[in-house]
Amino acid sequence: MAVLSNEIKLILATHLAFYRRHPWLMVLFFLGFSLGSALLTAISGLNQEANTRYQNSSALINNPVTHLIKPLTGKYYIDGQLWLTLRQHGFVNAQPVLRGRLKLNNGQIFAIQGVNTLLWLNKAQLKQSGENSGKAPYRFSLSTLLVDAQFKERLYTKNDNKAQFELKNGQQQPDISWMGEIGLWAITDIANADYLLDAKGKLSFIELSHATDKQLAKIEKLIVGQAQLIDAEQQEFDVLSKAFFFNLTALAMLGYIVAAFLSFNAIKLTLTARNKLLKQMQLLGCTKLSIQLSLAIELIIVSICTALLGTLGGYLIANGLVLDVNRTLVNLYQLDKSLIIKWQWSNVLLGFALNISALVVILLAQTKQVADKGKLMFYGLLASTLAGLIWLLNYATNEYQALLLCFTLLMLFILLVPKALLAVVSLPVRMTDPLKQWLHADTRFHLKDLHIAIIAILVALGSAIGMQIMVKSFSHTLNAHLEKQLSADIYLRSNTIDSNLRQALNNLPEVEKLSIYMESDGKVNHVPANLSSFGENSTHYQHISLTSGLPITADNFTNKGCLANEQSAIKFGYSLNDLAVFKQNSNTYSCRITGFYYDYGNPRMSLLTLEERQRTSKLNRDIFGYSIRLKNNTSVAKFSERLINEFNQDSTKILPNKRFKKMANDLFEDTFVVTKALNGFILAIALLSLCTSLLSLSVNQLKQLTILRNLGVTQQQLLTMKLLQTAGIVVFTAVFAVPLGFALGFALLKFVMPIAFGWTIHFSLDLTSLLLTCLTLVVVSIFCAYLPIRKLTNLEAKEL
Amino acid sequence: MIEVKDLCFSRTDGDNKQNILNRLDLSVPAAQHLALLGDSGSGKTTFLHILAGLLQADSGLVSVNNQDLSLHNENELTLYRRKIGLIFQHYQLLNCLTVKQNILFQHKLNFPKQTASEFEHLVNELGLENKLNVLPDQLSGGEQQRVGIARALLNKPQIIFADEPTGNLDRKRSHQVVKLLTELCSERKINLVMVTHSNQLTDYFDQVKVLRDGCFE
Repeated sequence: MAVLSNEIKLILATHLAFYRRHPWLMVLFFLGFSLGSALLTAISGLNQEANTRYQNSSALINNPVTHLIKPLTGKYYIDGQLWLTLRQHGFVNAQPVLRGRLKLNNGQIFAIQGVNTLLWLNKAQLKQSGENSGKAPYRFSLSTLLVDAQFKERLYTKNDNKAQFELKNGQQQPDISWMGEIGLWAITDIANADYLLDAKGKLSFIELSHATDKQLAKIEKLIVGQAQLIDAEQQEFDVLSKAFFFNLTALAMLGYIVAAFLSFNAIKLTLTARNKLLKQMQLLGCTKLSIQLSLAIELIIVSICTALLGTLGGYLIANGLVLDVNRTLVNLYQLDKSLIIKWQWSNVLLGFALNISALVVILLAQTKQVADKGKLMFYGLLASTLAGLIWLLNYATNEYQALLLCFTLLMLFILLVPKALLAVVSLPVRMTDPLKQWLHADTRFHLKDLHIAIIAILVALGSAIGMQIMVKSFSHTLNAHLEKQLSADIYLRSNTIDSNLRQALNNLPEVEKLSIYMESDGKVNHVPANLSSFGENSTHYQHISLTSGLPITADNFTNKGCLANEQSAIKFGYSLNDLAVFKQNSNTYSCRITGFYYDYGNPRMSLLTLEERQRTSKLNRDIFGYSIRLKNNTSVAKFSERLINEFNQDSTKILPNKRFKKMANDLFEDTFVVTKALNGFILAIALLSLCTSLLSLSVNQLKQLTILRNLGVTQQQLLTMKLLQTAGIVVFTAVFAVPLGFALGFALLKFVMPIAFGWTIHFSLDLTSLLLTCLTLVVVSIFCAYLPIRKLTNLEAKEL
Repeated sequence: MIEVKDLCFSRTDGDNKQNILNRLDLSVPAAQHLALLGDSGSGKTTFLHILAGLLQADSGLVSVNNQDLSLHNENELTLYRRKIGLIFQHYQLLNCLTVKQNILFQHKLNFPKQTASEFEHLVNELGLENKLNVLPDQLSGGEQQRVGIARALLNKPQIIFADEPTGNLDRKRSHQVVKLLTELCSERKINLVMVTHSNQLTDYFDQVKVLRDGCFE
């Protein structure tokens, strides 16, 4: 055993010496694995934060929050008296929280949160004594507002003057203190928050921890009719945001695949370069077992290091993306807490597990036994991929099967494109120029060495094109949808419906139609849902498009009829004439589904009914205001002025159609910011893969190029030829990546989108931007290839 | 001591079987030096590789220091190789290690807990004392071969197999290297088997054998 360990130590020392002599090789090797796991751990980090966002109370008690006492659906506050009642009944683990927004005179908004400062101070003192024992203590008074340092610039006007809070009842301005890692919600004492927000003793919610089933039952009795008790882990956000995180995880997996190809290259490169070294060690008496064991140890060490590096990278990426993710999650998926990305050791473990399995697969693929069965494996894989593809095209029903469909498409192209490229370069071409003859033969000869780079570029570009098609189609469909749905000329925001104003506006000769918008939140069969109405008859619903293509008529609302969004049918399994039971607190509203309508971007189930029915249903509801369609010859600006002057409406509440559409579009653009950023990372990894491949090629090509230089070929000629060769290969790969992108776009639009999000999108193509993407990749590839090729062709005369 | 009886070796390329070595017999007493001559393709390197445990014979007896190599499996052959000295035409130095690390490599494999007491004496004798911290590719061919010899000798082998160690050297340097190698082996009573093309180097050897088409002349 001692002999074996000594032998392994000696071999490992030799490997280390090898890496010291080839630091770039080590950097590429490490980078390949780190980048892949960085993408994956970044998304996993975001996901975990979203899942465990209640691990620490927002009221800053150390216990994890298990339940929340929230206002009844449709209400926004609970009476502070309820907290006192709970305490009187011995529930001391209940912490009140008050949330609200304050506006600054520079137009910025501050989200503030009032908590029990005694608990907060205790926690802060503890943290201080542990971490910052040398620093001065925080100064904190009841009027202090603690704000995350990242929001510092919000507090200043354009002229660098400190902005003031716009407080309705002349309250005193709060003292601002800056602190790190507070997040979206600025913290103050709950009494101060009540004073600033003029909340009059109301609370946003109460956090509970460590409540037994018996206690929960008692609490439910105490709060009945005033508030609702909700399990912290079963928030609407968890149900609604699943598809969003699924989308991100799928993208990260794609990134990992591309990065694994990069690593494959790096491993191939290190193994090729060390092939001689391994043989020499065997010649000198090192046993095969020791060499294999030392390789295994090396791989484990590499996996640990790259997992650590990857997690660090992932932590940085996640922190870079967290603001965009938060914005999307808050706006679209009802996230009630901002996510703060923390270092997670579980991600290091995930990265390690992924890296070690990828390394093992890659090493197994290099073994002679596998290489000998290459043909059999190729045809076996091709047949199973084709069979899988056909099956999934016909029977994919859940998001994982839809994703698998994308992977089978990728696999099909990965298997076929290198063969197709080889067939293209093997075509007999008659050439008389010896350099061209050499270039043609050399391309055929070295295509195998570039396989991995070709596949990495194919996967990255194909997925980028697929994603571009999906985003373009979504944006095109959304625009067309908004064009129709937001067809009114002016939107007048109001949280009440004034029947006099409504009547007066309706009677104006310029007004063609006046509708309202009213919405109730609730659940249908435990699925988050809303019930809305626009007016008293079907004429107010003409801006809605039914999936059947039919117009909306009075028949749609007869016999308790209502309309449901497309998601209800695709994602939640409802059919025409099904009875939908909408539940809000203890009230229910039932209706029969008579049609489905397009409703892009909405993750919930949505029902449309008539105004009168919603009004008489006892459901809590929010009123959003009026939508006004003007007659053709009426100016929107003039009518807006009339609303301000004649009807005393606040100008900030009047939104012309264009502004409203822009707001809706911006909201969805935000959703794709993260997608686009991840796609950029994947392309960057693919380009790095190209660089690695060219570097690994240089090991085999040096001799050939030296001979060419000996025969009188100039350095410039060599450089031009090799660059042309690379450009040619990338162009050919891009030609194959376009159909792959189309196929992926098709799969994303026809399978992933409907299954994961519940909406159908029509295929839309922007050829110009697609060609621009391909062209950019070719130019950047040549740029990336320049340095390794220059290094390769820069042969000095003495080396010849 | 080397004993070879009735040794046969063949290579198969598709359906063609080619006999490389035919019924060879050889005996080299302990501490003697043998030069193995022959044209290119005569089978001398193959024969040396069989003696060094890098290849296994089809049939016949190959006994080195009373060890029957035909009975050894791959692992035992590796351990056997560790105990002998090997010198190659292309030096086979580990390029990422320094000269010193290269010389000590096999010794450390064999004697992990022993210090190489002969190291200083040997590097001085071979004129490598000023080159210990450089990498092999910064050395001339002759110097690299001397590193190979130092590595083989430091391993305290009872036998050294050298495969055309002068193949890459000029005439003068070839004589220097072979003279040095045979002298060092004589001092240490080591068996030496050397494959060479050159008839002019045979004066340094006790026994000379010429291989032609897989048979001794």
